[in-house]
Amino acid sequence: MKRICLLLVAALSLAPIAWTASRPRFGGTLRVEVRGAISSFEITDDANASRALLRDLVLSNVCDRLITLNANGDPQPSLATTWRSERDARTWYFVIRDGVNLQSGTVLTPQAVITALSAQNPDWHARASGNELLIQSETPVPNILYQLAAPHNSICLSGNNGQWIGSGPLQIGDFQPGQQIELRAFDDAWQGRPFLDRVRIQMGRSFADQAADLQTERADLIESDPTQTRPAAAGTLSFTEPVELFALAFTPNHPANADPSVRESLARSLDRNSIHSVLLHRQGQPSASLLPEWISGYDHLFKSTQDVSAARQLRNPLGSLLPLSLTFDANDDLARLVAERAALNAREAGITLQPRAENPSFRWFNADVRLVRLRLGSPDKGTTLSKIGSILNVPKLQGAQSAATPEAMFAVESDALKDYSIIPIAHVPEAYIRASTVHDWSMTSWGDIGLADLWVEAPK
Amino acid sequence: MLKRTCRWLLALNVCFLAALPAAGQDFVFGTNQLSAEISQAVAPASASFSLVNRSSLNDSTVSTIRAGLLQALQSRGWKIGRPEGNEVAIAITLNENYRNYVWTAEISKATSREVRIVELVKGISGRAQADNHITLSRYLLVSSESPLLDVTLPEGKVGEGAHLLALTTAAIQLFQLQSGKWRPLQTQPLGRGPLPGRDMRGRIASNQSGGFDAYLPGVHCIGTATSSLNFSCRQSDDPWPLADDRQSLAFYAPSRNYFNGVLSSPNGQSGTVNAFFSAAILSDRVAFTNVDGHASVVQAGKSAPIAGKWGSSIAAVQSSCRTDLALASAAGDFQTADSLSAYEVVNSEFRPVSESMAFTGPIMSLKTATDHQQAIAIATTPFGRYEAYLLTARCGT
Repeated sequence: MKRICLLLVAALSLAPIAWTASRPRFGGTLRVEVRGAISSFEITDDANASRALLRDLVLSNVCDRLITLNANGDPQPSLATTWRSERDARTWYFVIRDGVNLQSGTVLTPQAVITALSAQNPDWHARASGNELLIQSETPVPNILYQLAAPHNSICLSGNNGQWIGSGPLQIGDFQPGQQIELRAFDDAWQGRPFLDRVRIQMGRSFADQAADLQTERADLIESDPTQTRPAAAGTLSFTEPVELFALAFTPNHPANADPSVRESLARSLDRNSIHSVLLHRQGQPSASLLPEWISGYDHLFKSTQDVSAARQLRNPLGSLLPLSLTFDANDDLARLVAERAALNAREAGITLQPRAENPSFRWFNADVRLVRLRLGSPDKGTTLSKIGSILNVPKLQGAQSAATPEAMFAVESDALKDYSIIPIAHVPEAYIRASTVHDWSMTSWGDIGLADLWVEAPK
Repeated sequence: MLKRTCRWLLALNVCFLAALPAAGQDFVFGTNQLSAEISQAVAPASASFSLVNRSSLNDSTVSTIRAGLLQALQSRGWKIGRPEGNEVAIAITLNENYRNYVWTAEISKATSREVRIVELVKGISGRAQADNHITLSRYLLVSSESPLLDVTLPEGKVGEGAHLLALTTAAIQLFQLQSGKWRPLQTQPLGRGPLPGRDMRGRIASNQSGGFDAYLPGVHCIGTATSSLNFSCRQSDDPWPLADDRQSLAFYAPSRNYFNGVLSSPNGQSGTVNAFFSAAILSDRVAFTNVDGHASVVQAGKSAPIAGKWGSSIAAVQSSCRTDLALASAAGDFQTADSLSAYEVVNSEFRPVSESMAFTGPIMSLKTATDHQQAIAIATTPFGRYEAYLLTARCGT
């Protein structure tokens, strides 16, 4: 009898005590690992998707914007409390929130907002009157609320070492360029202190290393290869909508590709469906448009089917052609596969594409064509197109900011694609895996991750 | 005669599509809008017509839209026929983006191609109805777009003419039950904002003489609510009542989302427990959901863990057959649906005695009402609304 009692006691003492989970808990460190790496704090849009992902993750949690988007993509007040427009959306007024503390210990001023916005939007004329900010533009900006919610319009000051200083819930702590960023809780954040004490982001980690670290409980949140439907590590897998664009971008004014027939021939030679089914494992979508279907709803208007005979007909009259160099990111395995497949397709049309890997320390500045992988970062058509235009240096796409109807937006995109200087290939999602100790995970369909409302269980 | 026929056909089209379920009215607009834009792009003539659905619309809705579009085009003078022999081809695609249905029309004539696009806002699907089983029942008090922190019933009952006080992050609202509906009588701003917080909490409790106290992080408001609201707020770290009877008070950590564990009571008794999110005050013990992730029960000064899978919101409630029940939310994140279950103490253990009552979103607040017979819960919905419920534990099914 005594033995039974002892066994019962032992069993009870070993029985796990259930967690009470609903209410968020303060404290702890979230350990994040990503592929991208940054060595400085640049607010301008980045042509490299993995770096852009990291930049957006840090930026959106360190610096606020005038406007934020809710999960449905609707504009909501942030540093601007109210707004109105005049002159057919050429003039916009924003009332700046009062008493917003910055991580530098000062208070946000309209002048600081003007400085931040003017640097990123040279076409806007901004001035302040009291706590009201006036933005004027020569052309209508009907989608200005979405523009202001984009990462590059974050209201950031520059600290002593160039690091971002904002009003967001987390502030930049230790920074080891290319290796690690530590974010610390900002106690005086106007929306309240975040639940986490710290976020430690390890940069430049391969998918395999990240998965191994999650498996061995050395990481709480990692990126995952979006083309793999079976997660590489145990945890909860989350996908965004297809938010990254793979495209071929011809170098402007390059003699090797001056003839539009070469570009069109290459475009028609691409077998997007096999790239999608074989290389992307049916994740994302093959696409001949810049905007993915989930943003535009009209990507089917851009014909994406392979037409090798048409490609040859365009190519053959051109006679002998020099090989075209095609560069891609050496750290991106998927980009390598897509580049090689594009070269294979081009060969069928009689065009020689030579894939060449490049990285930040070794770039092919004379490349004829680049395989780009862009992070779109917004659910808004106009904001996304103008961002692509800025990164790929296509001024025509800036017209999307003034496009007020779907037809006008379609016209801007069609016009930018008609000379085949940019050839979209596919849109792919992003994927993350988080440990079971990470709670209240919140990610928008366009990949914005809110770290401030997330919390972690203390180690057991 | 032709005009008359066209009008009749358009009217028929409206009637036909109006009978569609869900967002039918949008589709009436959509078919008419798209047919008008097609006719504007190319003068009506003989044309072939094709329609592809790439959206989530079901087959029957698509075939109804197809019929509606054909009628609308014919009413505008288009003669729809086979592809052979027609110089114009109209290709319709029904698609969607994250926000809208997107219908495109490609009108091909010889070598030219015109594109027209119509966007239709997607309707919000009906929200899931939660089940309501066995012993727990609920009554929706009020629903609000702005965050509700807490509500209280000054008269302690729901009946014609009864009042309800709601505390939001910025104001106190007074409602009155008139003809079975809670009608807002007055909304008065707090005048003094609470300390900022990510998981903002608050408490409002009334007394029998028409007065009330409202508590937010760093703020205490005192006032009266009879036919109108009259109150003032001041900076304060006063302890908050844990239930509407105000018999137990606890100090709230103003820049966090929990009580710091220091307890107080109007009769001068005090004590300290671990920091906690909420408490269920039973006749001989108090259960706490602690910030360390565990639930515990304190009886006669001794604390013991609770081995139940509880969420962080708990409250005590009585029923006619059981004097001590604890209502507890379910474990889960704030993004997920929640549920409430009733537990009773048997041999010092909490055992479930009800089926769980489902909520479509997390329970943000739960407290015992003045009469101990009911509890008040605030829950959010997937669409971001805040709903206050009066909960009752009934015996039997």
